[in-house]
Amino acid sequence: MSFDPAIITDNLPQIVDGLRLTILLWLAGTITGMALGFMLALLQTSRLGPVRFLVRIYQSIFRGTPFLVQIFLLYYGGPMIGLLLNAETAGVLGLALYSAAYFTEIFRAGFGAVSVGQAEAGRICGLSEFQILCHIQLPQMMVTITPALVGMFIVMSKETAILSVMTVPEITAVLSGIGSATFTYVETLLTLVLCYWVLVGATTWIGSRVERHMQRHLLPENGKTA
Amino acid sequence: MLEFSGALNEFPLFLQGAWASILYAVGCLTLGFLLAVMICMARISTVRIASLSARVYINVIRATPLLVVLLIVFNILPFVGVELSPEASALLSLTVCTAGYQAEILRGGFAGVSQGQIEAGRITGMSEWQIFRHIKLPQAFRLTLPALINETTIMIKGTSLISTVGILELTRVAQNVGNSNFRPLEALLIAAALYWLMTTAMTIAGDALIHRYAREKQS
Amino acid sequence: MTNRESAIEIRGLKKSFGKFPVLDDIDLDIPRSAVTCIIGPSGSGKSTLLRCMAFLTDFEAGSILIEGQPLGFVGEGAARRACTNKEINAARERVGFVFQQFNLWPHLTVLENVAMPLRLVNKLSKSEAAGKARKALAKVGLADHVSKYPTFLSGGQQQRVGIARALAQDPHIILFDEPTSALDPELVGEVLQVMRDLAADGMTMVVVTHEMGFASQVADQVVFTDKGVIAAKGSPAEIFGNPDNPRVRSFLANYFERNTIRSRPAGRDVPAAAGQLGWGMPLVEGSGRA
Repeated sequence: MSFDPAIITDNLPQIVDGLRLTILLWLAGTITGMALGFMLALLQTSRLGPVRFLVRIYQSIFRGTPFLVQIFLLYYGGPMIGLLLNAETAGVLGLALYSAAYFTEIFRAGFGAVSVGQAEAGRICGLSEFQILCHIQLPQMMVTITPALVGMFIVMSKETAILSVMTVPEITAVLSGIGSATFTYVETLLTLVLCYWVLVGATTWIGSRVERHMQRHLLPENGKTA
Repeated sequence: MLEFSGALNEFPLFLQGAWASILYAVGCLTLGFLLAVMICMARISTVRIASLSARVYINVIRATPLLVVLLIVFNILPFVGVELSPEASALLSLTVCTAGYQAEILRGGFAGVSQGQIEAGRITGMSEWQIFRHIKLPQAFRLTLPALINETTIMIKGTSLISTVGILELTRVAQNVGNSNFRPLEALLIAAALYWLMTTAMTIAGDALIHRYAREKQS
Repeated sequence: MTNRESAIEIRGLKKSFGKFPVLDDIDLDIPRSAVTCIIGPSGSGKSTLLRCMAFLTDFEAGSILIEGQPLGFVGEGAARRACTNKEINAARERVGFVFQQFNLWPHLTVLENVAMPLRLVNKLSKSEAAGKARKALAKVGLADHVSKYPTFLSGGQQQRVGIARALAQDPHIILFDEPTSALDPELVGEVLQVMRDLAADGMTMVVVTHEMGFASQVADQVVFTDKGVIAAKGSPAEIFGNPDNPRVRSFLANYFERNTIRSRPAGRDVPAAAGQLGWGMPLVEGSGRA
């Protein structure tokens, strides 16, 4: 078994482009999914039973079927109902729809974790429901749900690999392509593992910083009189 | 618009595919659990090298997409002289992947078993192995049941990825049928419905199991 | 009381949880610049009554006027309709509320807890809001704690922040929902002292409380609720002195039974500080044990 680093350095521009595309699709899809999930969680607090039911159905479908099948449906099945998407757009949309189902659940739990009294205190001070959401409920639920949100970002970073199956030139497609063309699987696939490892590691690190920031009001050094 | 009759004519193929998916899921989850118990024991052991290797394994697997694990097993193993059938390679990939996640889940479970129970076992003269087998493992299993059931549904869905290396299972069947009758949408929708049935049945059965354990605890 | 117009006017208030009536046809006037204490056994509806006065709980029938402004619902019978959010806020503007569980916002500092509503609702600039919040916090004796987060304050301090938050918006009326029930006994006194100061300033206050010492010393009007109705109402002397109502009698007897230090019979020879700490005893001059 030999290891030839030249295969990586020779194709570096292509690899960097692939990694850049992975990060772009990942962030675009996951952030859109988070926004959509948040809106669905808001709908789930609705008093209308059918609205809550529809959200549940959405969650059940997108959590109950494989991401690969969802992507195939969008990309290969979509044109049959007039939905013509290029691979990247279908990828971002797929990532967003899939992650939204999970983000909904995270935000729903977050709403449940903020006591009713917190909102009541806002209401009695005259805050609007929107202000209560932005200034009281959201910042407080972030404390409890940040780890789950970060976990979802990590899950989604790995799901982007599946987009290689539908010809998106992201990092998995690029490196496995080089590997099969030049028969250098060891070099390319280990580099691929390293890329994801760095991506996940960086997300974990950023996540722990965010978590710490969200919990600043619980840290002892902030209990001192200034 | 939608036209299911063509795909439905091939429905027995879909059922065979779904059955294959179930077998791969059951196989990888069972083997993965056994592997995970070993990795977890290594991870919490006091032997530094064992603990460190387990930690590296868990961290690397959890950071690597299943698709990349498949690529590695199918392309690098033959390269280093390990010749496996595609089916065995697929099962191996799924197993090493889920083992990393299950090991981390179990570690959380073992941490939840109180020291007092272990001491109580020691007082009655149980060996370390007996304590592990009869006190720690069953309790960790119960504590981690919800997470393990979640992992089960993840892996049922995960088996769809082995279609990319040519294994004939539900997703592959759907692709084949869709390609042959030029109606991929219907074929994929049938596959999606079958996946949904499998994961939903698993979730419902899992919830029932969790409830039963919770009731046993009360009585 | 000589107030011609009541601060709060409640007529025919009805509220039930399912089939169980919690408030059954309540009529009550809250006089201006006076302290009204609502006492009664738990489950008697006193907290629900108070929450209705801020429309934190809605009600099935009846009306509540806050300084003449309808709260929650307008009109009677078929013409009865729910108030718009704007109308509710217009009535609520005059009302402050202090919660049993404080309900401070844990992600904000003490100063921000008081200043945020001033910025968002009263539209003060950041510095104006901070200045006003500091003033309110100084009034409750917390000028030194403004930059701390609530988690690091004692229960008594947290409740005083709760009072400052209510006070900062210049309410005409402050409603207190068992403000000291969640506190350790040694922290009750500091909160009651702040409330005494407010009463002395002429603030209109409605206090649901179990602190009979406070009620008998500070209240101008005492309301006794039982099983969803107002069973007795009067001056502290009337309620604590020698109540005719047998329910009030047994409630108070029971209360003093529980809250009296055994070796010292209540009503006699209790140190002055005990009154502040809420150790029960009849404190109204000339009144004896029922």
